[in-house]
Amino acid sequence: MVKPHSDSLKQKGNVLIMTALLMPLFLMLCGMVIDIGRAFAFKAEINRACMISAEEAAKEINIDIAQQSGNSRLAGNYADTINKFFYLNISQADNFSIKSLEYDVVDSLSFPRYINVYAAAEINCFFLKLTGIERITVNSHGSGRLKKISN
Amino acid sequence: MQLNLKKCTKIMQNYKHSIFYCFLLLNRYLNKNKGRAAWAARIFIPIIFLSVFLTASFFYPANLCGGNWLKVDMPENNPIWVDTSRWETKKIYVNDGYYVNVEKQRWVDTSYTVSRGHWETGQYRVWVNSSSVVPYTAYRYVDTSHWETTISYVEVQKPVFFSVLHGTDSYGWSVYSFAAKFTGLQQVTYNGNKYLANVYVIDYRPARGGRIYAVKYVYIIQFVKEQRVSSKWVSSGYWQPYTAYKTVDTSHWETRTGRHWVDTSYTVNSGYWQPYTERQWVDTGYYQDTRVWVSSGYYAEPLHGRVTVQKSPEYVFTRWHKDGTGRDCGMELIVNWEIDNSMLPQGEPEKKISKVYIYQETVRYKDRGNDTTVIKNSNISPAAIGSVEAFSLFDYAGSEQSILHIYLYALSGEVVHVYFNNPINGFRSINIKKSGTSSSPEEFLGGNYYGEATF
Repeated sequence: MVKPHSDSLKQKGNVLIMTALLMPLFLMLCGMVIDIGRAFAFKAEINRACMISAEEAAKEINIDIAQQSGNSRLAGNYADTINKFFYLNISQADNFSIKSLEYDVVDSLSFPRYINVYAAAEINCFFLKLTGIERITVNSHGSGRLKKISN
Repeated sequence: MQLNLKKCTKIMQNYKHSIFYCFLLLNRYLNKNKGRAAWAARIFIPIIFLSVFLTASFFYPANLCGGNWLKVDMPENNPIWVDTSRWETKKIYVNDGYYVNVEKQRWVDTSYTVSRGHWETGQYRVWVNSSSVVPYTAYRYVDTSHWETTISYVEVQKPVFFSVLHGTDSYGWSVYSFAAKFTGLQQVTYNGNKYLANVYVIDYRPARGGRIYAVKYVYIIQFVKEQRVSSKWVSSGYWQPYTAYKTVDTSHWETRTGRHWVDTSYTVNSGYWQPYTERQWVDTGYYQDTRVWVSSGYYAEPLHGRVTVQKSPEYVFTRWHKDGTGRDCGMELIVNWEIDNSMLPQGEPEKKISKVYIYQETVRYKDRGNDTTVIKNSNISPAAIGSVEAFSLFDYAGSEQSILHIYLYALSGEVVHVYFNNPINGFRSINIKKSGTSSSPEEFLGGNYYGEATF
């Protein structure tokens, strides 16, 4: 007659307790990773949108002035171009909102050296809510300039 | 301040730009500085710059209004060879044919003569060749023509002037000369010679009684006989008889008696037809339309005149960029010419432009080769003064080495080649690092809008 191993039963009980204790922590950790990963993914998307809009806006020069004087003065609609291309390159996802879109022209409209586009967005968290973090704010920046076709 | 070295160099290439640019710089400076002196300078500086601009315009009108960017291939002053060589379609005879064998017959003559005869004794007639020389009277013409000299006397009038008085002396005549009357011109004989003399007569009866009668001859012309010698050609001659000799043919038939040869030879006619093969040429030659190079040309005076080029816009962009109205960017070109025919030699026809060929040779970046854009290539109504307009789009951007060529072809074959550097601009945009860049804003190539060239 073999007596059941009492140590093995004890170990099973310990694992159960440990699992019960660590599982919430593990789930919380996974939730953080997911939420922060989502934030990075959205930041990359915003960054790409900033770069594209800055690049497209840099091409919006007043061609009539360029033909007369050879200068690369910016046209009046460059701001519209920034808005257009920025939002064209942002996915319309839930739990994600653009909080600000700003831009500036380095030097002046008459002599534009390059254009900076700044954007800020908020991402609603799924799991971090449990820890009291409702949303994550991400900021991004892209610059673009006109390049003459030459050597 | 946006001024840099590259920009300065470019702007200083043009007087007009440099004057305006200096004015703008000073104006910016004055805007930053306030005060009475700045206000005074703000009034006087535009006046000074306007004066400088107008003075420069007076001395260098071409540089100010257009610059010397337009180049022309100057024709030499020597007469130039106008090559009118060309391809022509002519009918050329092509020798072609072949030989054929033709069966023929020819006559082979085998006739022969049988020579025979015999000697006979008796009379026979024989032809004797003979001749004799006989005299006869002939006539020849003896020419006795000669010059004959004739002497004749001709009466000629010789002017003289002397007077002879009858019935008084020179004193008496002078005393009563008041009563002298002219009685006319008379022919009189004096000392054996004939004269013409004016005759004056004094026939006066004085109150004291008596009569005074005197005659005065004033000789004015003397009739003198002069000898005249004249020669004239007298044609004369006669026929003179003389003895001449001639040969008379006295050949004749003679009847002779003796032994003689009687020829009884005869000919036997015979022959036959012989077949033979003859090689005959069958000509199948024909005329064919063939393109042949005809070399021709002539010497003509080179073209002289003036060409002006107007280009719009000053900075040309590729067609992939849109202008303010949404149209593709391009280039408008107006070419005017004026041929100077005043120096042409007499007889040489007036030179007129009859064809225009304009094209752009765009030197692409990154060694991508050249792109040729034909802007205009057409014949026009021949004219010494004229213009053409053209609009062109360009596919590729090109460096400052890109050249726009304008060829004006004269009706008489001469060519004027005008050209200028015409860069084509293109642009794109790039992303840069977050730290930004210190590079200056881009400026485009070009800037020419009006040019003038004489040739």
